[in-house]
Amino acid sequence: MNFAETLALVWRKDMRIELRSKDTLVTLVLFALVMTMVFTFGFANDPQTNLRVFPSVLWANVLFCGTLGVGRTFAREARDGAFTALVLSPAHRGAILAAKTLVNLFLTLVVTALTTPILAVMLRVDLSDVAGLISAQLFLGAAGFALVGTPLAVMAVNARFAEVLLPMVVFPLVAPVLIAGVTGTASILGTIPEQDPRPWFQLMIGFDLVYLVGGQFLFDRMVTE
Amino acid sequence: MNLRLALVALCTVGVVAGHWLVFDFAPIEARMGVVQKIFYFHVPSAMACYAGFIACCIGSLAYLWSRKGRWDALALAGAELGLIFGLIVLVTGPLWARPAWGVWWKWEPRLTSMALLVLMFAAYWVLHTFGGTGEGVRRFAAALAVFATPNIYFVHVAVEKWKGMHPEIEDKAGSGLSPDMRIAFLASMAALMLLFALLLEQRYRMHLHARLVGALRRRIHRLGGDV
Amino acid sequence: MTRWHRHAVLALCALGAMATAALAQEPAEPIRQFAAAEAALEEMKYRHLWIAYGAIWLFIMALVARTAKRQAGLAKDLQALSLRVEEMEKARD
Repeated sequence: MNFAETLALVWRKDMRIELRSKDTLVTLVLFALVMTMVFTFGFANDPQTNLRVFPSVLWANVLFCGTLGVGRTFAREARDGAFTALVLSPAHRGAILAAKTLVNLFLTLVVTALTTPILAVMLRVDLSDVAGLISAQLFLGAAGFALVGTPLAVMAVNARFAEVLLPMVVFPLVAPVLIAGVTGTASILGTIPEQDPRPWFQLMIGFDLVYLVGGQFLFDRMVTE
Repeated sequence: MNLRLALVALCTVGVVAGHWLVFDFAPIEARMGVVQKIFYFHVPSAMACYAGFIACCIGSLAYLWSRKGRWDALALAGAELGLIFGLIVLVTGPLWARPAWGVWWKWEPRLTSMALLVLMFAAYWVLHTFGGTGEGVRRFAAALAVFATPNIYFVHVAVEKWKGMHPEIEDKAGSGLSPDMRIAFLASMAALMLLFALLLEQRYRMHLHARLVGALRRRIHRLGGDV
Repeated sequence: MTRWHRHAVLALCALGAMATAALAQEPAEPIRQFAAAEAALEEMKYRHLWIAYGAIWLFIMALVARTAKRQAGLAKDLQALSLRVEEMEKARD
């Protein structure tokens, strides 16, 4: 079985389970909505302030939902030795990782796509002119998050306190994406002096590429049979 | 053994002499006053911190590929020392920054990347120490250390946009200093690097022996004895 | 010039001198306070420095002592255990 076939197989399996039970997706969307509500209560003020806090709120949402989603990556495999079976199978481990990353990216993107408009409406921020740029940014950011978080989610299978340790490990690692996201969105919205979001796009693309290669390189070594 | 004793003695002499040079020999800097003395401790600590994290990264890579426990011991020792010296940097830095900049902390490239670096290796250390004893956890922690290394670069680039104001004197190996200051700086650098090396060796040996004791206990258990 | 006049002039002069003295002192007072604050700041810098240095070196020494203690215990364990393993392996063969 080659790389693409394994990838497609694992992706189909995970998506089918997810779309049947919908547990992760529904939980994530509800969680994101609650987060949005809390942020709105906390920050909603005059339009100018709203515009300034919008990037931080948006990316905090991505961060929390992403962490929750990533933590559940191997939740289904954790029981009954399914993870060991998956690792022991002759399947290419990089392909397993790629499929899992894609599933995480997909979930984060769905949640973000649902909550971002709600957030914009609640904070009365008009995104209609910059929707394309912000979407591209959110895509790159979510991809960076999934690329860093998914390999690290293996930890949930064999470490104690994984649910506490994973955010602690992931947050500092995705800090560059977060900084680039918040500042890039602010520069698109025009709330900071630097009006050019391009360097932040470049940074995110570079980050994504490095962790795409790094994850493929290391994942094979970091899982234990 | 004798070599180690000699090195420990040399290190002690070096640290004491370094302090004398810093506080008595080197002139008090005209603009900053006494606070500038922190520099002689702050910069070598930063170097030792980087050295510790580099040791951790090298040890982790070697462990991931060779799966030999001693590389893991080296990585753990490196991370511990990097954290200790990193904390020293993060404590002495604000002590200097408060009188010099007027604030304890600034979200400035060097400071932010240092703080995040320390956080990442703190995560490594917590994972290694409290995550359990399985090989899976160790291997995972090693991968984390390797993952954290390119991040240093990205963090630095990310925060560089906020213009840096950290003094750059250390980049020129102290050539911007007056000759007396330079002597004091190089002496305390040498003393602290020696201290770092000795501490690294000590911690490494300790972790290695802890691992050997564990292996022997398991072996006795397998042979049917009680441990 | 009557006596009363002389007294008035003298009093005015005295007042003037006092006013001048007070005026002369007025800027001097904040400067002294500033100097005192500066000295206190310098003192504080010194104290912070010493406290920080002391704490750091105490910490490093404590680390060395703890590591050495644990190392000694491990070395003892190691010797005892390897002897035991040897004995057990001999007994098994």
